[in-house]
Amino acid sequence: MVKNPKGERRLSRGAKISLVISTLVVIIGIPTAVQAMTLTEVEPSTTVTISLFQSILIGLGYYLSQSPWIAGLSFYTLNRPLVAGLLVGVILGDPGQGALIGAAINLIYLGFISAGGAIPGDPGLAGWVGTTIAIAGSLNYGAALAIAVPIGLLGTVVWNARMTVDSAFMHMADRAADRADIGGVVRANILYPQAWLFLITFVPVTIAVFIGASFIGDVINGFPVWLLGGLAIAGGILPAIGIAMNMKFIFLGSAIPYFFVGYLVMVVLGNEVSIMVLAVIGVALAFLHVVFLGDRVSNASKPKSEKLRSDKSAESEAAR
Amino acid sequence: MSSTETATSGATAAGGEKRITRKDLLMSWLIWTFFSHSNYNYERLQASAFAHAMTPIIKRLYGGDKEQTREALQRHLVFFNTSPDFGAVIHGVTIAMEEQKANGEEITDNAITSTKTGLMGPMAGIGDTIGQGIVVPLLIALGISITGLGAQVQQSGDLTGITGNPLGPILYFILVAVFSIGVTYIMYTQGYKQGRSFVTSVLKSGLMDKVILGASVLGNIVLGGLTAQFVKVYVGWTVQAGETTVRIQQDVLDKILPGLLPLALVVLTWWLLKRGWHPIKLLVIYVIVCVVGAIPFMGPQPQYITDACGSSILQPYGPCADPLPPAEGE
Amino acid sequence: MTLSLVRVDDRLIHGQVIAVWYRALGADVIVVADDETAADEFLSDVLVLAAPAGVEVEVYTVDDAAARITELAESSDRAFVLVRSPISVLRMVEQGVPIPLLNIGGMGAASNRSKLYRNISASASEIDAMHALERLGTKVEIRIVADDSAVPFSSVAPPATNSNGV
Repeated sequence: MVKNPKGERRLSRGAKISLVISTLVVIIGIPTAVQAMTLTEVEPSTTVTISLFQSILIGLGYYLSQSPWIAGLSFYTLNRPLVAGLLVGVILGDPGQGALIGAAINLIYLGFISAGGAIPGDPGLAGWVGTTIAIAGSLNYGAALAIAVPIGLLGTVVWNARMTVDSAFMHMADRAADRADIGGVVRANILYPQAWLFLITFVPVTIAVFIGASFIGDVINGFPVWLLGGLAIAGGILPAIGIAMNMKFIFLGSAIPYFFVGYLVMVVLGNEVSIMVLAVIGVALAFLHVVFLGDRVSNASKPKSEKLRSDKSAESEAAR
Repeated sequence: MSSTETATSGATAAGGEKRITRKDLLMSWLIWTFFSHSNYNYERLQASAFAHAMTPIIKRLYGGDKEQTREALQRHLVFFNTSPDFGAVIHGVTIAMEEQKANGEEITDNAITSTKTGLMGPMAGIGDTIGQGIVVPLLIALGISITGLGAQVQQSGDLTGITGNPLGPILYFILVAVFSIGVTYIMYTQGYKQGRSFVTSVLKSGLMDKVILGASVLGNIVLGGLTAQFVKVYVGWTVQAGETTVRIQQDVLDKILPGLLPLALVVLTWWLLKRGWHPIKLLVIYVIVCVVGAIPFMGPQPQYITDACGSSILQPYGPCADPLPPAEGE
Repeated sequence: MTLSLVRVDDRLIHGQVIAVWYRALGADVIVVADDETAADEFLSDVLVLAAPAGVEVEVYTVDDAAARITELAESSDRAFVLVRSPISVLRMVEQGVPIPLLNIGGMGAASNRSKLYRNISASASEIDAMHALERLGTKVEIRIVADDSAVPFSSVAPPATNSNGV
């Protein structure tokens, strides 16, 4: 039923899946083969085993991260790796570690934005499952980020399944409206879509985490040292994408120089200054900038609006 | 709130003016706050959520009248998609229009629908820019900063056994909740009280432009800081020039400008995204580049993650150590 | 040629349009051609005022827009035209406005529309209009967000209005 949509959507999902598989092959397959051939000695990892109960809680958490039940705040909160990481940490008995790993994964999704129903990867799945694997396998920072990439990509499959099938419930709402049945519209908006969502989020995540999390952690820890080094390098490089995604929205016009100001302040002060302090400096500069330039910018659109409205509407404007 | 039958809660049997009570408005607001994306779908996006949010209003205004209830439900099941917080002003305005219509004013279905569709695009533009584009990333950056990840990354990438500060995510949660619920509430109630003029008065005041400008300045500063703190590119490549070993990172790049590569990488990524590259594509490419860059084809296999210097193009965690790499755990 | 793009979008101006299309096209002005919006002062005000600082928006009826676009075509300004339905585009083309390319970006489901491709739906008369546009030399292609690749209308167009099978 996931394959309902017409032509291209199926094709693009197929493309996505093949992308996931090829990524997994690169990250897992090739190195394991190399590993098998070189037989480097790797000390056995200190993996944390995840109980069924913990898996269920993580599955529930992922469902909640897409659901409306947290006052509709899930999309901004539980769906973000920063928050998901803390909660996974709580479930696995190490909140501080979870918060740290979640924060790391969230760097990739810093500029995440969903517009018009399209999402570039799912930070929720990356946060919930990525943190679980990272804690279970005691992964280093870079490996945690790298594993979050294909997982987030898999999340788009869940998202598409949801967005596609939910269209059917729209038609249920239509039929309820034809009967003037308010309760029917409410059920079409909550009951059926949430049941479907629960099915496609809770079930696969619970199973995957219970069976696979420790295993994937072990596989990654079995990588040869140079490859672990490669993942560590990714830890330094992938945040660039999260940052650049956000820049797409705000790296514009007269605000552009401030990006370099922020960068230089941090470099000159040798990373001693925290982002919090930088933000306080930022608020002051933003205030000054708006005071000195704000009027020019906001007025820019006003005379134009007067200009373009034709004469008759200008009259009625005056009459008001 | 999911009372099943229409006729049960008519409540406006008395003649005269039909008025939306404060409770109706709050109920509608609560439904929207909770369920705006409950049945998010490709066909009509938030359409059923909009109709759902209108149910307290429909019950109050048209309760008991099956024909009017049906029309109102159908009217609000059309394509709808906007920013859930700033877009809530549309609900307020729509409720005000429905109230006028129920009291006999000349308001056609078409007028209500075109107000909704006319507003949803612009409000999504403003709302997504402020909410998803500025406020959320800023608060996330603060949350990440509070966890202490920054300091950790400066030392080594090994997070095992390191405890971050859980206050980061908790504070983020609280702040983003206050922002989202606060904005939705103000938009809902003011949109209802002032109607269409609320939208134009806010837009004409230029307040939104100023907020976006100021927040962009702040956002850019923080992004610059994050780049310096978290984006790390070190070249491990060394070139043998006669007797001396030239380390590309320290002897060439750092001489030009320390931290040149991370800054260039972020700007390059921004440029590629702007040119229409998909972020997922970039993520996959970057992971592959990192793995390829770590292949030790120029020297011995590293024994520890940090001692790749000289054998691969890229070097994890930091520049090549001066004499010999310190024997650190992986 | 200074007409950079004509796009059909139910929501006319929204985040995607500004953040991606407008900036990518390097347009100087957005021309909204929609009778209903032009007739409603409030809605045209909102479109103009809600545009980010520096983005110029003009709202016209379809007929006025045809004149304005022809005028813009002679100046050096690059125009980005937004309409709600391909029928309006056909009207403009019939008035002699040269439109080489039409982008179908957002046509949501409605009671008289049936699914054309992904979340693009069209009514029978809209499909006829798109066919007519193709005959008149306008290339019609579906491209919802800039990340998508363009799908030619001809490859998904049903002769009748019903679903296209694949």
